[in-house]
Amino acid sequence: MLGMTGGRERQLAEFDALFTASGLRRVDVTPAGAFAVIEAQPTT
Amino acid sequence: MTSVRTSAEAQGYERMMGMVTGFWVTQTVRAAALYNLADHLAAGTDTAEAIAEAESTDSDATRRLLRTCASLGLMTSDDGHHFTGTSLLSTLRQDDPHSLRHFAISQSAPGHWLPWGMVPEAVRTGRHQVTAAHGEATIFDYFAKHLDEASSFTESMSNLSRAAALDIAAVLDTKGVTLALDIGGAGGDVIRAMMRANPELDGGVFDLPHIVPAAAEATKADGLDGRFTTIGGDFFDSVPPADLYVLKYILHDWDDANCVRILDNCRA
Repeated sequence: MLGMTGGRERQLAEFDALFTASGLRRVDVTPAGAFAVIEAQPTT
Repeated sequence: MTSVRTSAEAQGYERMMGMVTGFWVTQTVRAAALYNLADHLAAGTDTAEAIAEAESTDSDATRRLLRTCASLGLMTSDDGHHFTGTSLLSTLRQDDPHSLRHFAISQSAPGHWLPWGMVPEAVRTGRHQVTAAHGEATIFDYFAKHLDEASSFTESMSNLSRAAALDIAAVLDTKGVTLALDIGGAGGDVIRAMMRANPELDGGVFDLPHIVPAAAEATKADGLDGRFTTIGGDFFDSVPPADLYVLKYILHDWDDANCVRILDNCRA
């Protein structure tokens, strides 16, 4: 991510910061195989 | 000063040799994937000469490639001329829905390969190296001009997504959702798995205009096209209305400011 896209791998707290800045809030995290599904909803 | 290596030290040198020459392996696997070695050996034993003939490659060089592949555990050979594929090689077969062939090819193609050659510069500057390597703002702009590589990359992501898609579809409750959109969904594997899990669900892929035709094709093939839409656009401008948005392998590609633009467009 560093060399290819300028993106980054994120921890849950870093996702939460993105949600807050976008008017969303995290409502659920569910393990899904090797990954996890993070669900967020609009705050209003 | 005497220098007798302990066994732990020797292991360290051997491991480091493996790390330093890792790119040899990457490009050897690329050649194995490009020249379809897994498919040639799927039916049984074959010779380097026969494969070279079929792939229009140099016969001696092909034999040396196969020998190298044997040293990596991709095939076996008793006489150095006849080769038999292993289960490791079969992960590159074209007819495997989870095939790693396109991943092997796209990760080692110039689009990814050249910026990866500049990792130290990325660490020094904190910036990605696609612009320095390709003169493009992002790897996706590079793909827009290199459609063969783009299609290989899309296919590789689909291969990787297929297994994950089933896991995601199994845990996501889509009851009461009328329309779900796979944002940046490329081939649409995740949304299609969700639609197969919930026959009531309408779904679609929103991705760049040159990407979405592949999703439309794939959907026709699996018979979901009656309740499936593809929409071309740019998620930095706007995102079409829907009840549920899925973003898989998306946010990791972008910095925080761009992630907020994408998420904000989904919320709007």
